[in-house]
Amino acid sequence: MSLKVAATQKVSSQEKLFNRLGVLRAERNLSRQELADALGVNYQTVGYMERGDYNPSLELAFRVSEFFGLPVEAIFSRKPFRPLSEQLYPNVKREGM
Amino acid sequence: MKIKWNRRITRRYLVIVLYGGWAAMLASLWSANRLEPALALLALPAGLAFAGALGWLMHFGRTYGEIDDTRGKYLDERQTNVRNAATTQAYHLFTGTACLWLLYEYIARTAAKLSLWTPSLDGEYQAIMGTAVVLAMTLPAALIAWHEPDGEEFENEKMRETA
Repeated sequence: MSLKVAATQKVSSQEKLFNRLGVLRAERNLSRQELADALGVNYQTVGYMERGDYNPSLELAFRVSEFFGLPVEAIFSRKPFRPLSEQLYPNVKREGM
Repeated sequence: MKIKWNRRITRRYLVIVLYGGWAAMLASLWSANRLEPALALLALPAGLAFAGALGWLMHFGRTYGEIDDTRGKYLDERQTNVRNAATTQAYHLFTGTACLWLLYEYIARTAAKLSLWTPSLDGEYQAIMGTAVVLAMTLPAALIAWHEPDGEEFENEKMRETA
């Protein structure tokens, strides 16, 4: 394990958690700092979570879920999320598909 | 003076001044002892640069990433993980280097025909002990300062999003 990897706590592709933090934050028009203040974490930690470079603890994941009022599995997943538009309108044909 | 710890380049300069200042101070004292006594004067600015960088790095190590809100001052889980990882790496680096040094010293003293250098003056032993103390005190904070990514990136994203 290289020094850089350990010091920044990056996660491997197998451990990576996908999330909808960016979408949810944009929906509620929140800055990273505002979300970080609400969760009691550093704003960089929010950035790391959004990018999937940091996997939150179960406790923090539940805090996120409580803050957004959504179940944990609606925010975090081990598999990539389908775009919301596809989930809402599954029968609409898209260009190039 | 307020330092922008989020800028990685600032943090890296601090680490370079710290270890560079220490090395320059030792080199000037060694040269003064062996070559020209007047060179000892160079130890003063080097020592001052080292002391200043040491103070800032210790302050950085205590406060970097700290959240200050109604619950008081604390680190979040990622920052705590980063500190733990840096402390573990510093321990491995320090003990690894110490073991290599002990091995070298053992070989140098037992195999005289190899004519390997060993510290012979009091000053040389003090320099080695001093370096060990400096490394033990500063390595975890120096590792964090060196490796933590540039916060400007997040700042810029934040500005774009809130613009």
